[in-house]
Amino acid sequence: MTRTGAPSLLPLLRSRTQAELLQRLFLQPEREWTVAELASAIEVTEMTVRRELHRLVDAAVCEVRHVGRTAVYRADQGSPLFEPLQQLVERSVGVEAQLRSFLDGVDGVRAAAIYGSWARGAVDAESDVDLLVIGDVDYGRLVEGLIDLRERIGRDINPVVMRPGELAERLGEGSGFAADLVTSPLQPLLGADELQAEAGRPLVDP
Amino acid sequence: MAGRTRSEPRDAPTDCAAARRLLDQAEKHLKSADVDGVDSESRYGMLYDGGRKACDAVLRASGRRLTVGLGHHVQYIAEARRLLGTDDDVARLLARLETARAIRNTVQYDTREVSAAELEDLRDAAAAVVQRARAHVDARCG
Repeated sequence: MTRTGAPSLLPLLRSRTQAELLQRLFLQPEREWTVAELASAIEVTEMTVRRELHRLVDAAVCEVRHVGRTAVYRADQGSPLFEPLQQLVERSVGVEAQLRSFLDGVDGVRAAAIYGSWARGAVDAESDVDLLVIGDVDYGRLVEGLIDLRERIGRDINPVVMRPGELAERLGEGSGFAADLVTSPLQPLLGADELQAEAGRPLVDP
Repeated sequence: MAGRTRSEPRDAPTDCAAARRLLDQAEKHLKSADVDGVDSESRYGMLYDGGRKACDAVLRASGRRLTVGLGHHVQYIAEARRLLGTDDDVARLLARLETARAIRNTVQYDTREVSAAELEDLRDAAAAVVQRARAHVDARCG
């Protein structure tokens, strides 16, 4: 197992693996997961996932049932810790997953990334989320959806919405804002290749 | 800024004349935002000002004013939203103006630029806010 540090957004968790696991279980609480599915999604060994799941089952926040010889796991929605834990995940380590899921359902989005303090890892409980969206989207509907999401994650979301080609065009015109965007860390959510093509250079990793 | 209180709405005499002047100004701001040769960030500021003044017109025609304090732009929009009714269209429209307020702040006080989609949306939203405000003022003031 590769040891991973505590996630900066929720340092009370022991490891990034644990944070990833909680996201999978608590952002889709109806879904049941096998150990193999979780290991594949999180990209760690099945042994690591099994060990973490046993801890969650022992803590009574996760339940297990057997389908034939296969054990399947999901969040225990009857646990008194379910709602507070779900909220904690939604507002911290689960923000990116929720944004990705939301944007994936918006017509016309071709690429999206988080920039600013969040992408630099300089976040705290008050930090807002600066979001770059590229696509031919219905701006009003996108903003309305983000307002709903803002309520759920308890943080402001500040979108910059550009049409396809607009970022590249602004870079060509010498825009300082566009240059800052592509030379600062970006956390891609969707369409990383398209984003890189618009930027005309490799993206700066968070 | 430390120690300053937040702006809040309070009751005041209805001022229909001021409401109409604010709406006239708001419409001028929207027209000015379409003048050739103006940069996008300035256009955005003018459109936002038009929308914000239309909100103020709603307050004046309804016998409401804001106290001096922090966050008065947020309060203009929130109070106009309350006064214009609770239907979803109004809520959505003023949510777009509220988003524009946050964008306009970063444009004014930071290096952010305005995209074509953002400008286009605010052009539509600000015009719709002015139209809604005009109907409200006409209904209140005759």
